[in-house]
Amino acid sequence: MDAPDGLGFAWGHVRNATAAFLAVDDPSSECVFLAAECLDLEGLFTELGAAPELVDEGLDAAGSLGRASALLQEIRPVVPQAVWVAVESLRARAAR
Amino acid sequence: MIATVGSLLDGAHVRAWGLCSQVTDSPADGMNEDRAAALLAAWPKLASATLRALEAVPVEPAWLDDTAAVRQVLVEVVVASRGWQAVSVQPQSDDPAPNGDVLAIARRIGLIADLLSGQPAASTDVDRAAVVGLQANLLAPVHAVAVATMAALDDQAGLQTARQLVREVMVRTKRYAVMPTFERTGRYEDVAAPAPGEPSLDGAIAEWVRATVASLTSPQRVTGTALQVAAGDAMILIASAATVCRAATQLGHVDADAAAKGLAALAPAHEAWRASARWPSTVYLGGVRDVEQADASRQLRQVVTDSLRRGGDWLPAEAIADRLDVSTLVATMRRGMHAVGNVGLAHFQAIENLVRGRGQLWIAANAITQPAYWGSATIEAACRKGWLPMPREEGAGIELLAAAREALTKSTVALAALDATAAAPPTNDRGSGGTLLWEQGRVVANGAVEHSVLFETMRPSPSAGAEAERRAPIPLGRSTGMGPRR
Repeated sequence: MDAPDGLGFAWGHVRNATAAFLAVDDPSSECVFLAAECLDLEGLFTELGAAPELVDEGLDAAGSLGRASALLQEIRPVVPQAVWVAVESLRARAAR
Repeated sequence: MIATVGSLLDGAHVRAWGLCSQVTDSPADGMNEDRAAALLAAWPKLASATLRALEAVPVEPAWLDDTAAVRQVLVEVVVASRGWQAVSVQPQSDDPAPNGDVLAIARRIGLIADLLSGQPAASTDVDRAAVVGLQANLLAPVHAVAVATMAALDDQAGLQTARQLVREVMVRTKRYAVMPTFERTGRYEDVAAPAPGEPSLDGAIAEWVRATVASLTSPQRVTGTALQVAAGDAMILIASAATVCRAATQLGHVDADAAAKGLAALAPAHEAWRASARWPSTVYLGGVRDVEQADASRQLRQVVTDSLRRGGDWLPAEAIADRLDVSTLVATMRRGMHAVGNVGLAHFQAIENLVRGRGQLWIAANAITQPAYWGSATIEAACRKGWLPMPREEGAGIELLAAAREALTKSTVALAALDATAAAPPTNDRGSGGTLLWEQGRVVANGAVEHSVLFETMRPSPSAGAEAERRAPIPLGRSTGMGPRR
């Protein structure tokens, strides 16, 4: 199955978000938990027949998740509900 | 509640102490014979179980294990006890029922042997010290049973062999039984057999290590995400261990010095795993996620969050103590660090296979640094931002391998440091009087603390010549006579 291009780019942004969360050394470890959720989300992408694309690394974690969400919004009909829900809940949690 | 070696030892010591208390209650006339028969009937099971437990954790190098004399006499008990039943104390009656307390002790020691059966040999100083403590905790109840049996045998006729052997057990186990309780504690008391999937932190850790190692050791199932998830989970477990260790120190559950060393080792381990979790965006390993690993990882994080976190932060020490028993939690985290060590090994081996072995990582074409690989295929792939198999000796792969090695090394150091918190600090609240004492939930023999003799506990009787020499010392300062004939 050929995955839409948007999935690969969205995945690329999620990968950047993972790396951005892991770069933060916070005593609460909240960023590590958020990075782990990003990896859960990446796991969902692996089931969609896509490969991650290299995307701009200049964004912070919240910015990368925002870009991923926007890209998924463009191809919303082909995005599995689980992926959409996971991205949005992760964005909400990261924004707290 | 999960059964651990420590909780089984607690039970064995309580039973042994109860048994010895009955001795001092002076049973009525005639009762001693029944009691002696019941005690003797239970000895084979106790001796067999103790032998299995003593042999469960081998010591390396082997010559540092000096329990040979005890094991030898326990073997003799197992063999000779067949004869005791033939020479029954009560020839008219049926075979006596084994003493229930001793059977209960034997059952617990047998379970301890089962729990310890998968342990690797004790080859570090910390592990060897823990084994000596474990031996003392295993043999103190055996010593207590021997004391009780000797009291019951009293001067009954026809049981000379039994009396001699039990006395020998009593003598050879005494030096273990006199060891103070604080010298006996160690990481082996944490060993447990949690059922994977059990709704507890122990259960979640057990399932996580099983599923993660299974995923990482399978060349077909391992993916980049699986490797990163394993590393991220290791970070979370290490941070949890540090949180619990700090709380336990604050609440006085662990020795402050040992805890400080543990915390000092956990911090670099946490950082080492960070480098392994954070793959560069230019490196990739595809494959469909392993659902079992993903579920186990999510469950682990959920249980950690429910137990130790609130509002996106770690709980303070008092709040942890309100929710859970902190001493038990420290033991759980020690087990958790051993789980991290196991995952660390599987993680390193997986990365090594991908970088140096038959496996294959992928790299963004425009990230290849070796000019030898800048061919037309690479340029074409770079133009469309494609992925290519990572060439051997590519820097990005070497860095991932170095990070995995560092994570494994630092985790090993950290788990050893955390294991040292299992040893209790010295205390002075040691009771006195009587043959046996009850000290901090453990049976301790009353007597001088004889520090462990490294090689042999059997002391040959001095030669007749030496005895004579001692009786007739050479008079110094006086003429010694003619001297030897030439």
